[in-house]
Amino acid sequence: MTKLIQTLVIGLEYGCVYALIAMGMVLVYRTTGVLNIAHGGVGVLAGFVAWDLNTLRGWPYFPAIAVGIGVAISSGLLFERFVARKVPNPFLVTVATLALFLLLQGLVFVIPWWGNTWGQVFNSPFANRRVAIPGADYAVSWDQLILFGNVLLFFGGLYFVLRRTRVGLAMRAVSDDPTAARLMGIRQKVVAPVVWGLAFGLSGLTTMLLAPILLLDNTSLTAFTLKALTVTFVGGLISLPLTVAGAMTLSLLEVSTQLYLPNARGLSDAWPFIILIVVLVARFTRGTKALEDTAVAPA
Amino acid sequence: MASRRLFVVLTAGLMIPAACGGSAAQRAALKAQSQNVSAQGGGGGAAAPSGGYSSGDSGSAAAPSDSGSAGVSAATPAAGSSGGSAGVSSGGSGSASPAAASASGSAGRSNTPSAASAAGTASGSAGRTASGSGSAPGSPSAAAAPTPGAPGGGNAVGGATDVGVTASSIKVGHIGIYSGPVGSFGANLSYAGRATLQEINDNGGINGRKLDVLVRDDAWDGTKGMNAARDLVEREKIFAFCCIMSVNTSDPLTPYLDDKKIPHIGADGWGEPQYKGAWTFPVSASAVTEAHMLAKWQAQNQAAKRVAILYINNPTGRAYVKAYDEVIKKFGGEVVFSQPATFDDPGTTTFIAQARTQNIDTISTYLDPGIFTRMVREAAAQNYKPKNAFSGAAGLYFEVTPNFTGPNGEGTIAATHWETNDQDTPGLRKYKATVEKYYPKMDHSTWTKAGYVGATIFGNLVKSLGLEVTRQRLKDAADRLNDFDSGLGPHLTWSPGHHRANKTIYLAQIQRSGDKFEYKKIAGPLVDEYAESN
Repeated sequence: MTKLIQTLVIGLEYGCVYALIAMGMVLVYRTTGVLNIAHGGVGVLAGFVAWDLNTLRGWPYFPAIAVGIGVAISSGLLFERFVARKVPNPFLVTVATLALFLLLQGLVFVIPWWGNTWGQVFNSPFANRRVAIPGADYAVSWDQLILFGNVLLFFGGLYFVLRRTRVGLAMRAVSDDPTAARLMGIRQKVVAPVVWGLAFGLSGLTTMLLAPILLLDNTSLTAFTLKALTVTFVGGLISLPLTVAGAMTLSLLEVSTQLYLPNARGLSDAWPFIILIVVLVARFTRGTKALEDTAVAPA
Repeated sequence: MASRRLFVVLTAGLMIPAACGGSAAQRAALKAQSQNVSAQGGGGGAAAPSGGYSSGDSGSAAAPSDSGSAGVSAATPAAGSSGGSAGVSSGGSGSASPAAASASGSAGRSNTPSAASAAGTASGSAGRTASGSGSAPGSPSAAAAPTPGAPGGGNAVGGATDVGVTASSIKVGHIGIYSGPVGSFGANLSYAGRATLQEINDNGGINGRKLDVLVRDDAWDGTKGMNAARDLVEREKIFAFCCIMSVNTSDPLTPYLDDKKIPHIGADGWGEPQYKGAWTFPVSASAVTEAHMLAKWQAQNQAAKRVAILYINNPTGRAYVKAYDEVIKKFGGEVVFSQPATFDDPGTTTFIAQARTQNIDTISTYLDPGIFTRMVREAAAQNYKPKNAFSGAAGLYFEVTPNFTGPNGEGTIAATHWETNDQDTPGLRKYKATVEKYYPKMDHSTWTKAGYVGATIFGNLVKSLGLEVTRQRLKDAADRLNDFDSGLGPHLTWSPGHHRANKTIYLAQIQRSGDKFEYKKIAGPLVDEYAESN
């Protein structure tokens, strides 16, 4: 029983990490048709800005992370203005996000006092606070609880905005048929910056939430992008509920393999690929020729 | 139009990190290198000391100057000149060499041959005069004897005696870890060897030849490393490899070098396959030796009985687990469970949860400092620490590790293969002076010392060959290395079929020092009596 509770709790913890990253990717894809590979890179930039202000310059924690997220949002606006708007093909913009990812990763090393070691500790004010889980011989830190709360908040918030608000409707309309959206009076030059700013801001926030739990460096936070990508395919790149469900499924499979099948080395790492293959086969078997075909489906 | 714009964006995205990347230490070092080469190119008093590179303290050559980057921008070695000065220069400064063009990412910050100069000629003469003396400490006893039938001797002695050798330069291949999951601290491992090679050049080169060091990045990925190695061997035509501190490349490189008959002097030695190579000469100890000595010491001194191991899932990591288990069993203990870790795991909490549930008294690890730090911090979040705290292979032994792990890391024991950083010995002082001259912010670790030792031996061996520098003669000389004392602890001896020169382990423990934590030596030298004899 103890192990079962541990499996569920740890699975939920890991799942939140995947879900938060994947939701940011789904938001961008669903509203622009672009797969935002730069997610991790933007987060690293925002994280280092916040860490710099807080740790090196003595800023209070919350203003520092606010500035960090602000930098991420600004990056999104700049990227939209100077790249996404000028490159009309979503596929090419996807490739451009890869370039941005590499650029931002390298940028961390350009600032001498950022990249002079292999990582940075970026504690939140809630470090060393934890909540014991009854019957599990296990405790959850406040940072992890805050991460969980944010996943719920953003899941609910994005779901609501995309389905119930005029802004969300405009975002989806621009994605589905830009020409028709313009004819209907929706100004793409207003909607697109909102999408990119929101998505990059979410990248920054994700890093702020993960850095106290992990470490702040330019690689580990971006390493989850591959697994998050798998999770987004579970949701067909558009469905937030399925994306979150996929994140939890992946994490529970990984955790249960590690805890119940410790000798099955490699299986835990194989789950993302197994899930990806199963999802793609299932979608094609169902007659869906491409993931894009489902892009008009409601959330 | 859109495609052209995208091309510009992509190009910028890929080139800017390559051009600008690198830590402050690296840039400072590259600047220093550029200055040194510039000084040589301008004839800035690069007179070589008669003792050559081995007397590092007497290096009056190549005083840094602000004479611009003329030396760096020179593109190709002057093959016809006598005693040129091909240096370990910076490709990041607009080099025109094919090597720099083919390198990716950080590897682009590698090196190019630099210009021949009058100073180089002078140093060449000085070097030749000294070449026969063999007076460098640790030189192989009979290394100066020429080997009949050595390949590549078609030209006059002192000219192009073998592949990658000209009258003025020797092409040396080096592969470092400049990117990838451990790139942020892996670069230092490469810098130490490069600093030592640069010092050799700054002191006049070897017998009139400068070392033209071609650097590549493997991102701690054996596939990338092997691609880089093939490129260096088959396209760049290097003479030999020196001091590769990346086990994921050194291991698969070993049989390839046996096939091609190319020496690799100063390999990292962390992986067992390296000891099976006739042309690979490791300087550090293996992960198996680390596991042996940690298990024995923890069993004898900490009464370790129930051990859990978290390891990076590669062949060396699996060998570490097996070796630890074999020795701890001799003392009545056992490895209760082990768990592989990868760089894209969001945490290590399943490992911590199992360790707590199974009443583990010792956690040992084969990890990089990043995953290890994460594990210790997650254990702290669980308010958990086993009775004997944590231990691990040399991957933990970095100066910055203790401050990252925090209070929960106190008591952690790390294996290292050389005298620990907290000691004050002449050998350590000389090592630090050498590498910090070029890379002032060096994070001294097991592998930075190994790089220094490997490059020093390489220089000594090549010097002992005199003017007839061939691969076969270098290999033969390496096989005669006898009781080489780097000043950092173990004395190294190689002989044919026996390249396991270093079976020595030192143990350092994270201890509180005021409001900080740092490694302090607690044991060593410990010699691995369980190691294979090869």
